[in-house]
Amino acid sequence: MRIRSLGLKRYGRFTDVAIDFGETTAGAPDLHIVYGPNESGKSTAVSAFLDLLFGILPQSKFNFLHPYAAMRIDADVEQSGQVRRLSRIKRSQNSLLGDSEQPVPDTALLGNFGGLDRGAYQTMFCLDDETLEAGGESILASRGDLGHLLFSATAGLADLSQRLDTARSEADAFFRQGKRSGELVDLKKELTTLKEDRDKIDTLASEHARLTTERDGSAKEYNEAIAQRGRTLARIDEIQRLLNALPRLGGVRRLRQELEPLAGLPDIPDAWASELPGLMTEEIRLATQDKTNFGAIEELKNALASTVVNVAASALESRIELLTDLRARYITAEKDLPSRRLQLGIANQAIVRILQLINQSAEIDPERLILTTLITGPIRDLMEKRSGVDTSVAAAQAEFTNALSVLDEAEARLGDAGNERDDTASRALAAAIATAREGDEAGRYRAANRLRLERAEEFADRVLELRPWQGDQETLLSLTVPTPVQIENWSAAEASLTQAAALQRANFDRLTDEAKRLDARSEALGSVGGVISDQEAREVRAVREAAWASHKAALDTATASSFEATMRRDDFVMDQRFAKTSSVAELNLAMLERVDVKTSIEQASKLLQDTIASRAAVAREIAQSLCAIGGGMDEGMGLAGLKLWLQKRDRAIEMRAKLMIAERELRHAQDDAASSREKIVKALRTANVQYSDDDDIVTLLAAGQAAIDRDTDTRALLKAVDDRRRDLKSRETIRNDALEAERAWNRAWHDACAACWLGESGRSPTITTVRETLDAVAELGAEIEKKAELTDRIAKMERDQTLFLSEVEKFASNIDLAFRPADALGLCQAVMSSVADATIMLNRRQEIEERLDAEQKKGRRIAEEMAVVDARKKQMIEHFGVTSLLEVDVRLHEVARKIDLTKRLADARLEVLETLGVETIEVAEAQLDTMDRGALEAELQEKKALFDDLDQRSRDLFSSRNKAEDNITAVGGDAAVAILDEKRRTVALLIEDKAIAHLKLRLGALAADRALRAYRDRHRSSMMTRASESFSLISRGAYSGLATHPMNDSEILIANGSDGTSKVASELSKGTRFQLYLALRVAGYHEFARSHSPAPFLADDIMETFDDFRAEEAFRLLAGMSTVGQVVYFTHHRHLCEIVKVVEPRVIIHDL
Amino acid sequence: MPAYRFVHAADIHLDSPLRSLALRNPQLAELIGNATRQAFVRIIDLCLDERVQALKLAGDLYDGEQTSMKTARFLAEQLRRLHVAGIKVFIIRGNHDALSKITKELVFPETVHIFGGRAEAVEVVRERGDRPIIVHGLSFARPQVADSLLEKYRPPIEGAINIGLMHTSLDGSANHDVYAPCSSSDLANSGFRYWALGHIHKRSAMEGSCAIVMPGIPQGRDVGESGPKSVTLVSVLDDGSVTMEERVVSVAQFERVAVDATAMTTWPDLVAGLEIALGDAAEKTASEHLVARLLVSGATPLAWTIRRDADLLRTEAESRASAIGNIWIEKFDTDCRRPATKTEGQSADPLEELRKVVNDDIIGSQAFLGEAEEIAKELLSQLPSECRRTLTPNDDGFARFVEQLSNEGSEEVLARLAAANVEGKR
Repeated sequence: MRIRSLGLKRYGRFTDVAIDFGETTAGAPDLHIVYGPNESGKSTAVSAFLDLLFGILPQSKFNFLHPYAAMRIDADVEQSGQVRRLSRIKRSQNSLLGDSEQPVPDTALLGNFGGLDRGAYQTMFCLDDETLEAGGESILASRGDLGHLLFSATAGLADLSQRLDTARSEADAFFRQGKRSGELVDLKKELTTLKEDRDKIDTLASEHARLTTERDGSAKEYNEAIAQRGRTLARIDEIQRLLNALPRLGGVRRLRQELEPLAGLPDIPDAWASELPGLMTEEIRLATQDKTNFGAIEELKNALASTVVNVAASALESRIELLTDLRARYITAEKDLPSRRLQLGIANQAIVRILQLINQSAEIDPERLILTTLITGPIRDLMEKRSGVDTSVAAAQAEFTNALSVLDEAEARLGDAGNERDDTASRALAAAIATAREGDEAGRYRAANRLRLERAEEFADRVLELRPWQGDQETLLSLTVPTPVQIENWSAAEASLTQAAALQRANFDRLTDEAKRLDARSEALGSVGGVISDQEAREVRAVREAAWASHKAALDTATASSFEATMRRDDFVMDQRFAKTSSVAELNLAMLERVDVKTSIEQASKLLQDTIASRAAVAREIAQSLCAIGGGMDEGMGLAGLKLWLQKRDRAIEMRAKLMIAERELRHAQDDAASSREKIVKALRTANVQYSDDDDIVTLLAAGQAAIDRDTDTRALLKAVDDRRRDLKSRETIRNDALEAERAWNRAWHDACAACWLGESGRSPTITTVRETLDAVAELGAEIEKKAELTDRIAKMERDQTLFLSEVEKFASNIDLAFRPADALGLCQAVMSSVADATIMLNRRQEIEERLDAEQKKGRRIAEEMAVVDARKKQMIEHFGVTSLLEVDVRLHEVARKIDLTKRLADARLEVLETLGVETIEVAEAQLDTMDRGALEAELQEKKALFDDLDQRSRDLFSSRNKAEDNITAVGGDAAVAILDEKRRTVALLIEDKAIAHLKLRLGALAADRALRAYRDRHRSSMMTRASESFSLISRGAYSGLATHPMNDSEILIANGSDGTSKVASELSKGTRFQLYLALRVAGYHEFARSHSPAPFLADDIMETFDDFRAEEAFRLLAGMSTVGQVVYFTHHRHLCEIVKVVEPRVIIHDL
Repeated sequence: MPAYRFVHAADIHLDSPLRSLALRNPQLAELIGNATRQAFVRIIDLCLDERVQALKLAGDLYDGEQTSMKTARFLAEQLRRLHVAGIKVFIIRGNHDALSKITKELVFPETVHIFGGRAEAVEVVRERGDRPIIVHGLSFARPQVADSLLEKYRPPIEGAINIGLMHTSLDGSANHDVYAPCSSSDLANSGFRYWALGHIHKRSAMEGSCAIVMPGIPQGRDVGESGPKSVTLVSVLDDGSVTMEERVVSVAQFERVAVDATAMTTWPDLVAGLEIALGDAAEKTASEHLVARLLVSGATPLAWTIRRDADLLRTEAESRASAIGNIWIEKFDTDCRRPATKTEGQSADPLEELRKVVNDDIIGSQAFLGEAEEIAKELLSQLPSECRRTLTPNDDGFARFVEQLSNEGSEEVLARLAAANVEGKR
């Protein structure tokens, strides 16, 4: 599977960005570098790649620009030669969309990933620094188990061995051989405890049977004991009875003797004995009462005879109250009348005074003067209104006068001001002024002018800096100066020539020194005795050859001797040379070297000269260029001077450009100011404002503004006069209304007065007069009323007095008075006491009559009771044949004793019969008379002792029977045992469950261990070979490869150095370890690709720790992988792009 | 025409403990502990509420090893309630309680009739003029009865309605030992009107001229005795017509709840699936409590996640169950497999390859099995004997036991090895 195009539609910082990996061509590597500087989104792109394949993570952090709901990654995916468009959106399911936005299963993408999940893929084929290292660490942490290691590398599994360990230790927590603790032990303990608890409370069937037997046995024994105890008790009772009956029989016999003398007494009614004492007492009481009653009757009769009553007086009793009332009124009138009469006089005087006051003394009927409210109401109302009418008339008049004067003033002010201007012209003028102010062309012009001057000065300064060059602006621009390229070339040439010259000079110097050294050496060798140089030898030989030639030609002695001499000389030389061969050789060598050196010196010298010449040529070119500039330039200033001068010139030109801009701006400002002034002038003219043509724009503006201000003032004054006129008119109306109101009031007043006597004179009185008159009339009314009241009361009192006197006279005439007083009040008193005395007498007589009647009734009742007592007494005396009640009493006592004795005898007899349980007393007497008392008492003692024993025994048996019964009841039907059983069952189940879980883990771990070993054996060779090669390549041969070394049950990974050393993988340096990690991944990738269609391989700048050479080799590996599958490397290092181009020119580089 | 009404129950197994890990939850243990007792109380309550004339118990009142007198006492107390209400009780003994000592210790009221080892026919006391009803019964005299007991019963009384109580494995049932076998057709032709049977713990009822009813255990004790459990309320009229009503009395019922995870690809899907399955199961439950054994199966990419995070899934299930109410998770099982990947040649995923190695080369190899059996023996020797017996009843099973655990265990360990610490999975 490969991604042809990754479209970051909306993801992280990307919107509609696509990375197009293009098509592949057969045989060409599918290698891509995605270059992007920091923060350009490389990691985001890598993450998008992962999210495309495995779905966007629920808590994805790439939603800062596009919210979750909008996130989307598109991709063109190649699979088995087909290209398919797929999109990934963020959703918990169905997040992969195919054509027409229909969900497609993830297997559409991951179908041939062989079940690699996100984690595994990330650890294995999508690497960054972190995953490269973390995955690698876990590979090495497999503690040397190569099976794990290889497996981890291929599967991309992290912490493999840790997981296996966790599984094992989880199993050990339950049970571990030879360990006395753990879950299993605890659970077994729990089981034992539960069993013990159960046994403690449970009752088994067999135990129950035992309890039942015990209970039944106890019950039987108890019943037997109880029976025997009962029998003994019965015998004791019997003996006890016999012994008890003996004294009772004696009692019977004694009573019989006592009864004998009383046998002859007659019987009497039962009630008599109790009745007798009462009868005797009653007789005495009645006699006493009779006597007292007779005396009382006599006394009452006498008292009645002495009581006499005045009948006439007592008949008046009911009327006496009326008389009392009349008397009281008489007395009051007598007291009040004088003061009332005086008050009446005062009232009359007051009326006369008031009439005088209101000027009506002649009035015969003062009541006529009193005015009704119908009349006083309107009058008072008008009086109240009068002050309001006066006030409003005065105020209206004052305001009217005031308004008149204000109007005059305003008109006077308006007269001073000029006439009004045309409104349109005025507004146009105001607008023109406002526009001009807003534009502020004058200000702008001033600023532009200032700026231009500054720029001109600065430019002059810059031109001065160019000295010694002198010239004007245009010259400055039109100067012929060398181009920057030219300068750069000169610079380069000068630098390289100078450097070359320095080197060559050094070389030349060195060679010269060498030549000197060689010269010295050959000289030294030559100076050693016998050492003859080749040259010398050749010269000698040449001399000899010449001598031979001349000798051969002459063949004479001279030539012969000459030849001989030269011959000898040559021989000598030869000998010498043979003798000093090494010296000669050395000398020869020195001479040869000297020749070489000489040649070199010549060459070096020539090179140096050339270089110097070249440099001079360059210098000349520069000088020519300087000369071409002219304007008094110093031709000797050299390249550095020229560069500096050119920079200054650039600055001057730059300043000139600024000056130009400033001048242009100034011109614009001038134009604008002129146009603005023109507009104002036009407006002024239209508005007819005076101005001078010489005035500047500011003055014009001021003049225009003044005209506008004046217009504003005039308009304000006109408006004021208008307002005043309107005001005056309204004031006048108000004043007229007030005057009309006053007239209406006057009319109403006149009418009101005319309606009563006030207006009788024909003229209306003034308000003041009326007010006073009304007050006086009110007082008059009160006095008239008072007078009427007093007159009435005096008449009534006089009537009361007359009535009293006549009534007293009437009473007195009815009663016969013993003494008759002369005055009315005294007479009245006498009548009243006479009536009161008569009433008292009458009451006393009635009381005596009632008491007498009562006493007579009592006397009759006593007589009846005495008759009954006498009859009873007579009956008793006759019964006993005695004479008095006292004798009857003695007889009654004797009869009572006889009855008592008879009863006691019967009781005693019955007791004996009951004690012995026999029918008749005769039988009892016979039985008792025959028994042996001594023997019976002995038996009783014996039986009592026996009974005590039996009683104790039965009690014991009772308790044990109850206990047995309780034991059975205690068994109960509760569920305690069942609950414990259930708990035990549950614990046992738990043990089984955990045992199975434990075994699963242990057996599973065992199987996994063995499988990993088998896996290692199966995959080791190919994987190791490839990892080894890769590692060797990537470390540039620093390591020849990887090897394994057996250790305990497993193997450890060893890196073999090229120098023959070897290191355990975990001890390698960080950079090397990273290389190893990568190598393992590469090997894993190829392993993976062997059995699957390859997955894209992504890496995000994983070569930070690699130097350039190792990076190159790493790319070589990646290039190798890219022939198998798609490889994409993300980086922010530009140089890596260059490196990879060298390794694989067909790489495609994408800029992000 | 007055009806003769009675309740027919069997296999009470009083105080026989429930077998469920769910009882480790004290709350549940409180609720359904002693479920057999609770169910029995319900049977008594049913008799009282329905004012029946009799209760017929067709054997196995309790397990043979039940020796606690508390159990017998409880039984007596409950039967006394019926006695007070004047309801007769007919009891036969089955294989489990044939020799029970505890029954002998009890004194039952005269309204309780326990049939002995010789066949009896008891006439029901009825109003004059009502058709006579005869109850036949025969108890197991010893735990094993190999032959049919039918011939030993008294012949049906002519003109009367004959009701028989019998403890029998009937035609034979897979999960129950064979006791007093007899065929249903023999029973149907026996001339009895109603056969009140016991022994098989699963209900079955056959109506017709002779009603043959096996009411089943009234309270299931483990997932093997799943489903709602009941007794039969029977009404017999003088014309011989019989009506039967099944009455559920179980306090809790055990169920296997299966979740098909096929094609589920995300954890939330799976949890939702669990919830739906639990909800369905709860709806179908007739008892108050449902004790569920969850089994997640099917081919799903989540297979290994499920195995590895079974505890989490169980917690999820428990919280869902608690939300639904009255559902309790007893155990969580899975036999999910990862879907087969369609790749040519050897398996794609190294883990899959490893799994293949385990399956093909490791398990089944003598070396592995030898070591595995040692490990298993070592553990078994430390287990309490009752657990040991349950896990490996005999030697034949042992090898199979080890192999099965190895298979499941390796699947589980592989699941743990699978690196899936990817948040998206959950």
